[in-house]
Amino acid sequence: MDLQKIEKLLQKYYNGETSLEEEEVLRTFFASRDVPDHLEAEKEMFTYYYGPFKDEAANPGLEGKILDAIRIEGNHYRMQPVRKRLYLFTSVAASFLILLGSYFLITGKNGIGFSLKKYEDTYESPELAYLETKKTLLLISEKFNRGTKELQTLSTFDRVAKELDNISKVRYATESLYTFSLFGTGVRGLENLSKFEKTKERISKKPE
Amino acid sequence: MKAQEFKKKVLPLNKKMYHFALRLLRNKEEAEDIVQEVFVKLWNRKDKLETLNSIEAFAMTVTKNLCLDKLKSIRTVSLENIKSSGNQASLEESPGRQLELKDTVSKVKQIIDMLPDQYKMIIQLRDIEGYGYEEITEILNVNINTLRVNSSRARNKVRELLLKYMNHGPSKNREAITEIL
Repeated sequence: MDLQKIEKLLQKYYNGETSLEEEEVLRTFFASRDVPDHLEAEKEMFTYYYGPFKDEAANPGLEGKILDAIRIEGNHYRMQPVRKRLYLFTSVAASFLILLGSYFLITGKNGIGFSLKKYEDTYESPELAYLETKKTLLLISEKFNRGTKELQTLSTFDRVAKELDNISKVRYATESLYTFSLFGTGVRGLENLSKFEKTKERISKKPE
Repeated sequence: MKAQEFKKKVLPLNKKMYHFALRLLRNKEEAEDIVQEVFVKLWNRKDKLETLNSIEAFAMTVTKNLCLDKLKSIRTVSLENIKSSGNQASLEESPGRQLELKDTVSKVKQIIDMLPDQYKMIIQLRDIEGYGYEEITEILNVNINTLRVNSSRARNKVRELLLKYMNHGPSKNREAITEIL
């Protein structure tokens, strides 16, 4: 392989334009021993890329570890569907129970305590039944009224609130107090009147 | 997909995935964990794998995503550590350490370690594993033009750094110093 061709290929290589085949040509060239000095860097580069480091970095135990990891994971993996199936089974069973329960509840066809029984007449004569009902309703209303009486105390609350309204009258009072203060200035004005009195005295004294 | 088929088609991908993860994470245990995690994910989806365009590209994509997530969490944590301890020295120390390459490890490897994740991934996938650009666009989820541009940048960066360390590298300096002494 002549050097010129190699240098051209190298140019292409550094531009990122070489094909894999061309890079292979470079590799084999630099793997040979007679490489000119000015291509020493490339020799080092391609020798490294080509290979001995791969043995350095070899990890023979890795494959076994991977298989172990998969096996452990595989066991988890197999367990999962069982759990999923269990969930499915319980949910189906639960909804079936609900359906069954509501059927008996609605039709009341069984002896279960809380089932809704159909209403049956317990009194022979309708009048008696009527009176009995009235009595019961009266009892209820009585209790009810007692409750509302307690609530009436709440209305005092309302009254207190109205009383609080009177506080606004305090404002009127303070306003009227202000007029009192005007009174003070008026009194001071009246003091000037006393001067008037003095001159009056002087005038009356002069003729003497 | 049956277990036997999974073993035959998917399991052999573990080497490429591991190298890819190792390139990004630079830690053997973490890379191993990630690869196992990816395989568990693939196994759980083994019935859907056949509908995929390329199982390999998918496996590499998942590997990439998990690695980048991992890196993000590591980087946030270490950033918080630096912040909380207020340790300025460790911040200043690392670039200095980066400049000095170890003689025992390939220079190229150490240089790739310094590159941004995107460049690392491109070099790993293209130059080392020899994937076609089509596949890489799928794995990295970028368009072909961006990929070519970034591939060119990554390669030039490697060359630039390599030349720098070959000519003015610390080891050369050390040799010069021992000569003087």
